Amino acid sequence: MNIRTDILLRVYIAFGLIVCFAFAVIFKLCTVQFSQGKKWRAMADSLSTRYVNVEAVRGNIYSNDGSLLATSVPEYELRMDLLAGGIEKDDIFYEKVDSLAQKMSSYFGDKSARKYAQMFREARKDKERYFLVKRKVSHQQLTDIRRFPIFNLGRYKGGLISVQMNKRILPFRSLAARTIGYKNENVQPVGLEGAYSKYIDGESGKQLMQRIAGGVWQPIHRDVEIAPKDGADIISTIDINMQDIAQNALKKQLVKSKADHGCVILMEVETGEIRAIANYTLTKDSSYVEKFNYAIAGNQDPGSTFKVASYMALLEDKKVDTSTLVPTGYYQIPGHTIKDSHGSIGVVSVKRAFEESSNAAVAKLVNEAYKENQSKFTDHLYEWGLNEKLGLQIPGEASPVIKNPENRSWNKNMTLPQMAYGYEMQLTPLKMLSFYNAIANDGKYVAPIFVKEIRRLNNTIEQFKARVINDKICSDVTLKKMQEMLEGVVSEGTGRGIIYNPLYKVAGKTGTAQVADGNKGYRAKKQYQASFCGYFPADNPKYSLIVVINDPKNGYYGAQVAGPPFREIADKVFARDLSIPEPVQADKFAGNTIMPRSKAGHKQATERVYKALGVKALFANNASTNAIDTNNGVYVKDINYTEGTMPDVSGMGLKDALFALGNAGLRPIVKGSGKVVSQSLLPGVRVRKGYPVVLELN
Amino acid sequence: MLNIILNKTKGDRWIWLIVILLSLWSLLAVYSSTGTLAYKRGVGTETILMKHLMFIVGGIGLMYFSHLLDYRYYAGISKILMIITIPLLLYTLVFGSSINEASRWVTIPIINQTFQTSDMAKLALITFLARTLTRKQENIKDVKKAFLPIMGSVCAVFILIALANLSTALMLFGVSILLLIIGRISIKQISIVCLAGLILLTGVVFLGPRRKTYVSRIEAFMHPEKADPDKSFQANQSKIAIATGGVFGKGPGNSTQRNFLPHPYSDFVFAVIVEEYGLIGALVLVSLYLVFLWRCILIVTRSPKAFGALLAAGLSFSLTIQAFANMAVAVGLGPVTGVPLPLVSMGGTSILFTSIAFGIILSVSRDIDEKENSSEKKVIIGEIPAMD
Repeated sequence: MNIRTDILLRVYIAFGLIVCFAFAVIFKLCTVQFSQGKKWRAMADSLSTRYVNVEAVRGNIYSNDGSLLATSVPEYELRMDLLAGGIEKDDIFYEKVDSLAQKMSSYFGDKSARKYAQMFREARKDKERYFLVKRKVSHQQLTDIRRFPIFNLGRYKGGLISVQMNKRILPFRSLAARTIGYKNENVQPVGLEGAYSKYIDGESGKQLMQRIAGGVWQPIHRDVEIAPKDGADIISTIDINMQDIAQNALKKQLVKSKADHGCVILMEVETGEIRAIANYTLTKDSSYVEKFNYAIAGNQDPGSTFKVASYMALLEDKKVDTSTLVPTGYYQIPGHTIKDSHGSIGVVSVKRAFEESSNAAVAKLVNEAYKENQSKFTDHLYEWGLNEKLGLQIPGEASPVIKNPENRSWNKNMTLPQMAYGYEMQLTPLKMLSFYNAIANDGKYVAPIFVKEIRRLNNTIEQFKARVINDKICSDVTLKKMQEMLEGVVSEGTGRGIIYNPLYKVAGKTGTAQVADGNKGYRAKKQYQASFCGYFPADNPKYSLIVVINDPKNGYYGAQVAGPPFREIADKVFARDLSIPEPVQADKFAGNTIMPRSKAGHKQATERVYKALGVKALFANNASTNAIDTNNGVYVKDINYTEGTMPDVSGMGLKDALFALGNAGLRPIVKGSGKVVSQSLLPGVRVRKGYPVVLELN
Repeated sequence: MLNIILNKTKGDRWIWLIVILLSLWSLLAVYSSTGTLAYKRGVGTETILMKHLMFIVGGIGLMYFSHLLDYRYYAGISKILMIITIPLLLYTLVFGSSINEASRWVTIPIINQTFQTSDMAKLALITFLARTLTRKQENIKDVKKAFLPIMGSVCAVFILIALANLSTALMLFGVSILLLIIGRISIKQISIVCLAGLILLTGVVFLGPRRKTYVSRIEAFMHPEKADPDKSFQANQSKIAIATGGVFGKGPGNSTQRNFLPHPYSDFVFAVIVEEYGLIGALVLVSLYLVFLWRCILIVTRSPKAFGALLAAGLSFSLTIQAFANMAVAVGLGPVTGVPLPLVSMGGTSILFTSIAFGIILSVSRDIDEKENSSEKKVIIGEIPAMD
């Protein structure tokens, strides 16, 4: 055999082997396709790509005055691919990891630089590709972190992975927090967030994600397949300033009286829109927090505030008139004596008895009027819908309980007189308020609302008007009498000392109820519920308001405990609402030698106010002025300001002072409130930008 | 135009056809499967496709020039290449960029292009072996003269590549042994080479820097049921691709497994091809490589010179073995290794050196054609007077 054939033979054999190899590949391929095919195809289904929801941006909740009550802000979870392109090489990673750790530590201050360095090194050793660095990072923080060593290598090279989560925030924090509510996973949703989640949530989009090595899912395409539809905005009826007033007043009184809990509801009479709703509960650490919505869910015996309904029935059926005389002090019914807590005031008119909140009087009047036909009294209550839910826009409303003679628990001797002064029934504060609101609203009984509009991209998609439950709950004559009696409570009766304000009229009724303590009934530890429900200004009612305080510790009478917050809220709301008072007559000021005071500030703004009031003031040609009132008129002094010096802000309000300092590039530190009384740098002093200036206000 | 191209290109037409078909197929497969890569790099799929296209065009260009060069020059070039390769491999091992603890790449400074040195070593070793075997053919049994350089070069290249890329090293070693068998080296000497290779292999597997990777991969292959699901992930995904492809495939560009498979554009490109073109596609692809090998064997048969024959045989076997090894991994016939499918897989250096290898084979073929043509002419010239 020559060399050539020898070589060729070997080549052919090798070719043969390769062909065999090729056949083996094909054979194995067929095995995978046919005999094992089912198994792999099944696995394909389970492992294949999956759609992941892309969260839609939730809508905002706005207050009636346009303030943002709840909004979503992006929050990020920082993860890191320790084997990203830019840091694959050990020398790059280990050279920079310590300075990254140092930066992280000094930026967040939550861990020492050593801890951070150790964390990164261990993750690197474990070849983590989706390592959790930090949760709850804000957008601003993320922007800053992107500039840190390693992370500044770029989006893919640096290995920084930011996972966006939307976080819900309430810019006014605790203000109306309970009414705004929340919607979290695995928790019963609460408040507006819960009730309107259908609108607020929007529709989540879908993105096709694929599994890549290491069990990580990553999006296949850059763009989402189904774009999420952002949620709609909710315009609530809450007025953030009134809410603030209500919440503060309530809290103040709760702290003062060491009460267990309390609530306040402020409602606009005509529209039924809830302007403020506050609830506070005493917690174990003696602080008050909003955790239960007593206003809509706190079902209790209303007590004396309910006498309004009793008298209304009596007046409507012409059983009594306001001048009918009635004895007070005590009233005997079989097995029980109903006593007035302040003792007898003798035989007085119905109006007086109401004003002084005599239990005996109302029990006697109702019992005697309806003894023979007890259901006639309850029919009135049913007719006014007191036994029905209001059908609120937010979840959690408690069902009211108003008995009738057919009920098994009806005691034909005791129930009727006890109901007359607000016992043996269950009403929520909001239910009670709505009834008073109807009286204020000339008999038109409306269900309160919390949301007036739903908007998407500023286009109204739905509007809400209060549902009218009853167009006229009683005759005008009765209504008039009831209104007078309610005014009388404040001007003559139990509300006199505390609620009465000579500037405007308030109508309302005190309530002091003994609270049944669960199974132990009324005989257990004595607990009281003090309340005041009413409306103002009584001449032309604009708002109705109820304050309920449960289990106060120092004194328990309605006027004494619920009165002060009622007064405070009513006063402040009244003062703020420009539509309530009569417009000021401009000619009152014209020619007046004593000029109204003005804070120092922007000239044009000041000028406008004076002009509107008909005051002639002389101004120099300068943007800022310092107006000082004198006996002879307004003395106006210019504020001369030159660039690079400290401006004169004395006498200015905070808004103007901050504006002036901001323009001068200084950093104000503010103490107190009111007008600027001192500034830490003298006017005209040369000062560099960013220099701190302490302003004291008084 | 076509005529000009046909006139300018010489060598086996079948091989040229296969090159064109494989390149076109490569474009389709790579375009389809680089979505994930594009996402990771933050560029468009088209950017990657354009780069790949440039490599293919460049490769064909290189193929054209290398086929024009008389193949006898490659004997000299192989020696130079060999001298460059060994230090370059050493450099790669020490300074190369590592992916998964395997130093396989060096960056060429000026053009800033990564470069897989083992691709060059492969070409260098095979041409060098062909040259040496040809030269020693006469005194093939002389141990000292013939055997030492052969064994030395095979073992040196093996160990240097093996430390970073065992599968490529083993394959190259296998091809070298095959070449030695074809080159009529005695069984005894081949056994010595094999033994030396085995010792080196043991060393690498148990003491080398990537020992853990080998153990886990081989275990996953031997006992699929015991394997960590994440480790057998690649193999399973590949099988899913093949199984869901069926006989006719899902159609070009319709692969879904490309999103799961790691390196669907290189190591597992065959799986994507089966998924998209089905069993039919696989049969066509296998046939293309077999036809290529067969055409090369015809060149070997026709080659009047031993060097040409050994060169063609060594290169063609190397390419086809690599092709079937890639397919074997994809179908689960072997453990997971990163072997590209010649001319189809994406990857700059692989394509360029594969193209050169094709070019050298074509050069041998061109030379044979020209020789046969000229000898035929001579015969004709000689016969004419005889007819008178």
